[in-house]
Parts: sequence; C-alpha cells; structure tokens
Amino acid sequence: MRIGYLSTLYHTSFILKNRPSDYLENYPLHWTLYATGPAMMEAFRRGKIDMGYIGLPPVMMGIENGLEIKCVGGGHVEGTVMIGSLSYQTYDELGDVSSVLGQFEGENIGTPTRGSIHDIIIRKLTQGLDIKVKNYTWADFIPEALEDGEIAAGVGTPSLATAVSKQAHSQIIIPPYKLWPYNPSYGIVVKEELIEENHYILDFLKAHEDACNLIRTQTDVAAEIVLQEMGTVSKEFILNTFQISPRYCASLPEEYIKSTLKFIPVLKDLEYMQGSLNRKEIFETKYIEQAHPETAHY
Amino acid sequence: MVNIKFLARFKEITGEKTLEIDYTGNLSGLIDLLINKYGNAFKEALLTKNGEFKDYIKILVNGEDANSLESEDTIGGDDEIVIFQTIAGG
Repeated sequence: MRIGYLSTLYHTSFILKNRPSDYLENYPLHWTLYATGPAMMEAFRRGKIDMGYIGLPPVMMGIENGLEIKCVGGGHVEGTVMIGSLSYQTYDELGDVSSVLGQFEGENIGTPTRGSIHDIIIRKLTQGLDIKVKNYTWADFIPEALEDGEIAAGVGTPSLATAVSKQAHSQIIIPPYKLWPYNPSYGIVVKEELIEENHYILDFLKAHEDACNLIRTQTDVAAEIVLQEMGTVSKEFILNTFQISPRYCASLPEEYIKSTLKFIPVLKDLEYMQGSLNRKEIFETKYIEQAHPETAHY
Repeated sequence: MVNIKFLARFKEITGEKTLEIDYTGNLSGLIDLLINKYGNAFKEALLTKNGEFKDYIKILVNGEDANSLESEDTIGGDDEIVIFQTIAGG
C-alpha cells in the first residue's frame, strides 16, 4: 500500500510509521511525503499512491475532476490557524474575525498552495477586502516570508504556528476554532478500487483510531514517537503543536460530513469547482462505522 | 552564481540566510562543498549515517524537488537552491 502524507506532525502517519500496529502487521506500507494536499491529489492522478492523508477540499476538487477516490475516515478538525506579528490585535482582543482581518487591508497574507484547505479558508474570509493572498509551495517558506515582511500574516497548520513562533516574534491572531469551526483538516482518502478490499481498509482505520487516541490521551508518548520520526525538532515543539487544536479522532460524524459539504458552495464561489457533489460521492463510511462505532472524540 | 537559501535550522547552523557561490557540477558535489564549508553540524542535520538525505530534508532546485534530478544533472549558472527541513505541515 502506497500512502501519501504531509509534514503535519499531528497526523497519525507519524505514529503508524514508527510504532508497529498489530492491525497492520500483514500489510507492507510505503510512505511518500508531499508538500500539500493538492500535490497529493496530483500523485493520485498519476497513480503514485493508493491512500492519502489530506484536507477534504482538495479531495472534492479531485473527485469533480474525475478522480475515483473516497474519504473513508477522519483524523482531525480545525487545523487552520492564522499567525502574525505582535503588532496586530488578536481575535481575543477584538472579538470578531472581520475586525481582525480588517487590520490586514493593503497587506499580503501567506498560505500554502492554491486549493489547499488553508488557501480556501483565507480566500473566502478575505473576499471583498483589499488583501492579497500569496501562495507558497511549501508552508516552510511562510516563517521566512513573515520575518522578511513579505507577508503580514500566515495561515496554515498548527505546525506552521509553532514553527513561526520559534523563528519570529509572532502570535496566534485567529485560533483554529474561530477561523472556521469544525473544518475537516484531514481525512483518510483511498482509491475507490481498494474500497472492496475491506479487511485492509478496516484494519488501517483501527490502527489509525488507536494512533488518534494515543495523540489525544497519551500525548507525551505520542510526542516521543514523533520525535524519533522527525529527528531534529524538540519535544517541546511537538507538544506545543499538539495543543494548538487538540481535536483528534478517526470517526466521520455528521458534523464532519456537514462541515465538508459546506465547502462546496465556497469552492464554487471561488471558482475552484463548477458542479456539485453529494455525500456519497465523497464519503464511504461503512468501515469507520465498524472501526469506530462509539461517539466521536473530536 | 548559484544562489543558495537556507531556511530555519539550516539558517541557524550556517549563520547565513543566503549564499552566492560560483559552482558548476552535480548536486552531490555541491552538498560536499557545503559540508566542507559549514562542518559537521550541517552534515548531521542533512544526512543520515549512510550518507542519504534525511527524511523531511528538502532541497529545491529552481522550485523543483531535487529528488526529481538525475545524478548527472548539472547545477550552475543562475540556479536557485533552497535547503530546509519541512516541519510546517501541508
């Protein structure tokens, strides 16, 4: 099984790569790192991967463009955060998103590639404002761009927020739960042709849920595993990142699905999609309902 | 001149944001040259004990992942190189 993943260290890929799971012992896994969700969609299109850890908006665009893939599990919600310098007032100080964004009129805001969930969220929220959204192929360019004054704020993952705080005098300007509540920051997406190989999908989702639980309930143990994988970041970096938006779970509850579907009119409005999709075209929930029958942990 | 940009940890190790260097050759030769210039800390951040690039190390050549280069591909002229460890998510 060829799996695409991102350098987002709270994704369970970092756990499953390093902590053998009984559920997966009979399955060889080959992991490939990608810069963003859209880059992973291109890998699906070229037949390079069978499964991916991706935000749902790029997945919907891929399905509309003919990719035969479906989301079979969740992973995390509210994985987009806005960071900026200490000179700007935060959501906590101003009390609403539009007042916060109003401070950035005439400025640039940096975010990962066009079509990533972060790009879509910030483009939608800044519609009608004199703010230019600047895309970066790798989110790792954003801390440098902030430091150089090329952008006034950045929008990306909690990992980006921690990276920025390490490098520049910065703060969280809008927290993830206020920027776009319950947004489907990543899910487990597979090629449709694999969906009938039910044992594999079910076993993977059980291992994925175990790993989500580890991050949520044994954070210190999870951080040690991620530390082994990443090598050079500190454990403090990992723990800080885990805590920015601690909403980890493998399930696909109604809120997750509805939040995903709410992106469709946004994608059309931003001209990323022309048509529409229904939930059955995006999700296959039968395996996660077996792997995670209890209430969601998000 | 080849322009090399160091991000985050590599900026800390080298003490430089950018380096302009007169170089023509393959990527491997350029990396050897940088290791000679910046020493063990640079080498250990970049390479495994087997001399392979560590996971999460990214080297972009004119915006493209160096993984897509062939070993005989030449770097030189006005090429732009970026060296970083990806930690900021996707």
